[in-house]
Amino acid sequence: MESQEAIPVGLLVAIGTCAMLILVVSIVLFVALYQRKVMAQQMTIQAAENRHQKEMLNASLEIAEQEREKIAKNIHDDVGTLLNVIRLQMTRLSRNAADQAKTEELVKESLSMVDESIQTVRGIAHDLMPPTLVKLGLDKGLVEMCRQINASGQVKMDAIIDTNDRRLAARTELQLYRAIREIVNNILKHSRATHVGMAVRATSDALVVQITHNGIGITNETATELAQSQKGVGLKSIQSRVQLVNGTVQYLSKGQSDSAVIIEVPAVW
Amino acid sequence: MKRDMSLSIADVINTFGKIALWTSLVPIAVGVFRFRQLSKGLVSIFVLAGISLISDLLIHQYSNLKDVPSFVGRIFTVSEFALISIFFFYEFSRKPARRIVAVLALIFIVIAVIDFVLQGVMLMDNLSMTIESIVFLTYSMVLFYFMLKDMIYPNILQTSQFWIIAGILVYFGGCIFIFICSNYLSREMVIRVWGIHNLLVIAYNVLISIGLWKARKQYR
Repeated sequence: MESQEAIPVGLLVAIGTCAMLILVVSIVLFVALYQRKVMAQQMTIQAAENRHQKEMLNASLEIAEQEREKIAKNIHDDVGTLLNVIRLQMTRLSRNAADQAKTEELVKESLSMVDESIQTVRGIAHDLMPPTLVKLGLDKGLVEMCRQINASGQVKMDAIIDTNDRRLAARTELQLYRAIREIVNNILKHSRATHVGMAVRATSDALVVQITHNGIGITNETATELAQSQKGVGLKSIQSRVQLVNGTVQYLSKGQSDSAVIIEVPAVW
Repeated sequence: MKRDMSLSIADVINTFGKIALWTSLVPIAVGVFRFRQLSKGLVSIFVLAGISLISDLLIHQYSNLKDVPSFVGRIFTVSEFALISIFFFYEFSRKPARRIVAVLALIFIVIAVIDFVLQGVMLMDNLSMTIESIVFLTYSMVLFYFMLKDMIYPNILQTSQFWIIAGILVYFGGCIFIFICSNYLSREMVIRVWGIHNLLVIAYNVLISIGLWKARKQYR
């Protein structure tokens, strides 16, 4: 009787032990393999992020280099030339000091050139740091940008700004302004648009800038492809600047006359 | 023929018993060698290996006295629970988990005493050992879950924790049915089943030895 009862219990122990062993060994193997798999995925993502950061850094450096070249060119071609001419005028003035009429004429010309130099230097400084943006904020800076573009006569540009005079951090505003400027420059250069619209509105937790135009636009996919190519320095700069302020940028294009670029930047008002 | 076969099985079980007894020396040796690198939790596992060897030697030495092996076994179960609880206490980084480990350790002592009173010294402490197995299996699963969730180790195979938990899982997972049923088996069956237990002890000693060895490479 005892033996008959003991056999099934023994069998139960054997089967139960085998089943538990299979289970625990499976758990241990699962943990080891799963951890390795997740770690490999994390490393791949990390590598992609590092690559992206590197690309962004390269783009920023390239843009900074281009800006420097532009400033150097402006100073050399405009200010430098004007100062050389003023120098020549001064030499002529010293030679013709006895001739009253000639002297007055040369002084007048020189003053005009000095004024021109001042205007050029002011223009360069304005390009580097728009005074309206610094003094009055992003909304006024964008209105000024709009006015300048309209004054150029290249396209017609409208701006609807609804921020209720709320202001972002100065650094965020500057990055955003430069990104918008680059977007508008790209539209002017590549889209063949005749009309550009800009709408800026402040939501409870973000600032949304929507730039629409009636030219040839690009989609998110095209923007990513271009940004990865050698040509897409401007697009990289936009992406880099928007990322720097924790924002997002989207490129939308529906056909050849309905395109938009939307920037959204988180904001605490 | 049948008698030869049963003798043969008995020999095998006896051999495994001896191997299991002496494999306790491996984690002790590794622990001594790597003692400076051992964390507090690992020291408790190292101490447990020592206590395990002493209690096995005592049981082996006094196996002819009916009361002694069972009494030593009961003392060992309580020590084992306390020491493995210390390991888990230090491995859980979250305070609530640590509190649970500490409280359960105290509750377990009460259960062990009740088990001793109810079953007496002659029977094995299967209630305590079953509860112990369930608790440690749960702790191990929870710790594995946290390890996977937090992903703090670049390579989990290089951590002591993984190997120690694997050892605990294999030993207590494999033995739980033996612990539950040991008091309901015939003496002959207990001896046979104890052969499986000895195999699991060998696996446990190997795994915790790896764990103690890996203590030199802490990524935390």
